[in-house]
Amino acid sequence: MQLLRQILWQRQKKRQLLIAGSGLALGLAFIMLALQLFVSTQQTVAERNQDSTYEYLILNKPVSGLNSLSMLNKRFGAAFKPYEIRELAEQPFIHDVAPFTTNQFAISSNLQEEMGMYADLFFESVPDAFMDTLPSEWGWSEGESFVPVVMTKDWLDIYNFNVAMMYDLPQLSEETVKEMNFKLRISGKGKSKTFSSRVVAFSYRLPSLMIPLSFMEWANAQYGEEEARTQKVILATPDAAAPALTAYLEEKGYETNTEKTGRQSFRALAQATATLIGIIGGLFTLLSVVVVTVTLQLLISRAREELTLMLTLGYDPKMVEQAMLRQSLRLLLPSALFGLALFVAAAFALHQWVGQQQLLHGPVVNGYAVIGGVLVVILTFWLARQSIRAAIHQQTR
Amino acid sequence: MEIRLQQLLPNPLTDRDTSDSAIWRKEVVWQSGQLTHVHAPSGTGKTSLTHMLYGLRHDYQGAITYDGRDVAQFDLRTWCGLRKDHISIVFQDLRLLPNYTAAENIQLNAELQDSVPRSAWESYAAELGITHQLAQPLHQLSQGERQRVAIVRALAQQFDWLIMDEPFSHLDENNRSKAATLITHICEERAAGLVVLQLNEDHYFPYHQTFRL
Repeated sequence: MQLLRQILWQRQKKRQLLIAGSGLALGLAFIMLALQLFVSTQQTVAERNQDSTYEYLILNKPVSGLNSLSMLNKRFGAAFKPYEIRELAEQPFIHDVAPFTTNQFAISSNLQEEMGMYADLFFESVPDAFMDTLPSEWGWSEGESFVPVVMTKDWLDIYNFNVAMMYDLPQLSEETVKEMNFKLRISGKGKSKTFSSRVVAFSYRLPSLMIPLSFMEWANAQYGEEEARTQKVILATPDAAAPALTAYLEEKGYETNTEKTGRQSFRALAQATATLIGIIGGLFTLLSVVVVTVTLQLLISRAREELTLMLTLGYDPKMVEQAMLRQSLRLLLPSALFGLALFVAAAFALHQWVGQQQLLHGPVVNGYAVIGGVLVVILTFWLARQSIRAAIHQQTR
Repeated sequence: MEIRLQQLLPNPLTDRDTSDSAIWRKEVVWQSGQLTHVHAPSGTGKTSLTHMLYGLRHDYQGAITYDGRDVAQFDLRTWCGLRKDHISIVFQDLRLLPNYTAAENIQLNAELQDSVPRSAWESYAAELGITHQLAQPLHQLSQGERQRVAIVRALAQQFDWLIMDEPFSHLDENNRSKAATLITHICEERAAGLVVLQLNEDHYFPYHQTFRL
């Protein structure tokens, strides 16, 4: 049976086989590379969405000439109503939303004695989840006499680069500011209380002086003269540049504190890239499968003369089918291995190149890519078997 | 193995007057071991009959039976089994592989059954004068040489029946005579039957019977 074993494509021109095998290998490598790229881009986007968490926007209603003059401004002006906040929270492009709670009681500090600065202070609070920094001293529960403060970095910058320069005052480092202890005196409803305080951290996200929400709520209840009104809200969104968010804010007439909305964000870019790679990869995959299938069909049709003759001479169809399948494997397996090698080499090169720029996360060789490659090899083998069977069955009648 | 043809007629000949034929629409029995000549003038369906006997054509009326079994019931595997062990053939169009050597063409059939050793079929080739052509690719051989390769290929397996469609058309007198002697000898040795289908009368074989198609 030596002849039967070589009948299928041992006798084809070597060059033809080389081209067919290379086509197979390249096709496979492309498929796997496309999968690898697609999956790792997706993973990267997902990871960024997860760990660099959300982008934060602070919203307020615009102060118009009308409501600044209105007598009712103080009660009904540019405040957010509870239903508006609920509606914000329900938007799919908004992850979470919370109001800024402000002090409804008088608050002053003795800071002026040491610094020559005086301020009738106002504070704000947001839930901890919206803080960009949570130092260990942060937090307050009833009975504690120390109230931590988080200050916006902007103010320190303004002091250092404008005020200090202008008035020839010493510049202050963050550390210096954190070492200054001061007293906070709160008063209202005819009573008052003094707490010790200190700036424990600086915030890049929040715009003023922040104190723990627990303290704010307690103090508002105890000393608050009026009901708290929500002038500002903070919201967390996966993509501040999402067009839907921009459109929504515009429609509602809310103002934001940043220029984050409406521009191209990294996230949108990465998502677009992943989609593009997916589409190109898909096209390549399709093309490769077509090339592989056509190649096999061609080889089988070229062997059709031999196939027909063998059946005519009395070779068992099953035996011929198996012999041809073995021959297919002898072409397919080395090509597949070669394709795998190509893919691994390309994946390493890509990792070297892109990995340095921290653009792609995940392993160098993706499990999905390997599984995809194996599936394509199986699919190709199956297609080859179908073609062989079809060729044999054409002989039956 | 007994071959019986019952009211046989290929579909393309249904409109034809077949009253002159000793085979079409008749009852014919060929006993094993008999040497049979089918004299078939042009257009009488010689190649059709060959292919019908070998299971390559199925468009006919009537029936062909081998040892009482109707071949219309055979599937491809059954046919392949028959071709492997019981029926050998020389096609008019030879059906050899042009990119293989003459020896490989013969080997392809010999290997299948593995009962006629290489030394045996090489001696057949020697008797037919194609020893030197065995190693050559088939497309380099003349038509007459190819015809002899096809004959050796058919003899390179055991069979109960040898069917030959116009096997000598490109052979000269001398080679025809040599081939006929070899074939007759082998058929007698194996107690096998022979059916030779030809356009012309033939005096090379010691036929037991002749039918006009």
